Amino acid sequence: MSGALGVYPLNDRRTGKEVDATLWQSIERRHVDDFINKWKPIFDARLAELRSRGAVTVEIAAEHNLQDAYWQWAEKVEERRGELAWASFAVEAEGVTQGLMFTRVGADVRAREASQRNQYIVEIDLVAIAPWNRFRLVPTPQFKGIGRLLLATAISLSFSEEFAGRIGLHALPQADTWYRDVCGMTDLGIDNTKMRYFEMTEAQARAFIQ
Amino acid sequence: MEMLISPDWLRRKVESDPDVDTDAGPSIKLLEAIGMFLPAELIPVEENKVVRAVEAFGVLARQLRRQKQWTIEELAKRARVDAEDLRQIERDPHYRPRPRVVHQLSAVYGVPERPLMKLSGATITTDHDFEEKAMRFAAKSDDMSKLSREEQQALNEYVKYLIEKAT
Amino acid sequence: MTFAFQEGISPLIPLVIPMIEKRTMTLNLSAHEMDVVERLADEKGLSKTALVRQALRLYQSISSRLDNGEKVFVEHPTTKEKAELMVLS
Repeated sequence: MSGALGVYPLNDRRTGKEVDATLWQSIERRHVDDFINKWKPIFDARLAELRSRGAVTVEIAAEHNLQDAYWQWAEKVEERRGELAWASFAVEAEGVTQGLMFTRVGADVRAREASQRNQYIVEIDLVAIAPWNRFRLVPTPQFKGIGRLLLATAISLSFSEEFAGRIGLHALPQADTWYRDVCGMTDLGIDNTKMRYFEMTEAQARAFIQ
Repeated sequence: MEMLISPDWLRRKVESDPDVDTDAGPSIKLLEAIGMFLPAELIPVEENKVVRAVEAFGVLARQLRRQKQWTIEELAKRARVDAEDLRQIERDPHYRPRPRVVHQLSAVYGVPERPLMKLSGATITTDHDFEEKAMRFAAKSDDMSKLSREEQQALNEYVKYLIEKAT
Repeated sequence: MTFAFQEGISPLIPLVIPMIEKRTMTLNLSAHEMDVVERLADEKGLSKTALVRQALRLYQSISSRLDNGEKVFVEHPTTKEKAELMVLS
């Protein structure tokens, strides 16, 4: 079920050089293993450090971009593997998983933005970047470009589904500016999930991939 | 599925992109609600904090009943719960009611269920603000049959807070 | 993976063809069923293929819930009354 969708250049901030990354069409066992063996220890260390300063609430974890640290990745991947509604993607560079994404489509997955209300849309359920690439976790995050690559992937999926590039997602608080101002998505405000919901119209999608 | 961008596109864009986090994901609230973020071994469960919350729940239950001027028996009938359960709730700060009882009380008083569940110890929370407000509220009550003006005010304010918490 | 070379653009643009192959199926539908497919596709601005794929996802999701013993309800938009939509009998 897996295949490489392409090879794309990421920027390594630490060396200033370009590094090739492969984009995979689904999350495989090795990507989950990387999460458990390479990402999680860093999350754990950071959580331990925060905990030594006091109880870690969900809010505090979100502030430090640790909210997905205890997400049951292996279980989720298995659960969603057989389901047509779910698609997943992985970005690998230097032999290590650098980013992961889950998307969802379905008869119930519809746009909310006024000009496209109720039209089918691709919902980005999760974009997770490796801890060494996150600003709130390390002083010098390594790779730049993973978020942009994954967003373009979701848009490509949307077009291939005949949803004209429409995508929607809930952004983590520190990513608001990225989605609104850099990616040009419409900010639909905080919804009942207590997170800010963003959508891209066809026009915005086309502008993004220009 | 056809990728609509080229390697060169990424190269070009990344250059001018700002340095920010780009994570998107499952609702923080969702994680909290299904306890996914709070594996027991991570968060030190402070038993005395839970007891204080439960005590506040007992105080709240009592104040709400007094506000309506109901006896325990009357409340038991209206809420369709055991009178003994209600007595325990109001008297014993270690007594944790069953979720069904909390549910019934929530319905009969019109107070949102989720914060009540947290308060009663039926679900776990590590919300500091929530705990603090509970304790402050509990401290304001007195054991007289009719609610004083101050008690009325404290009760109304606290219920308002719980309603806000739920939305 | 297959690589193709495009001259005049850049020395090498790798075109990687995904390993997921598409397969084709012929559907024998009644005239009425075909009408419904066409109408629904039209309404949603989708090709018949895209429509059927959406239908398949919905089918799979509900079916697996029912198989798990779950019930599926509909809720009236204003009265909020729930009625069972689907349940295994």
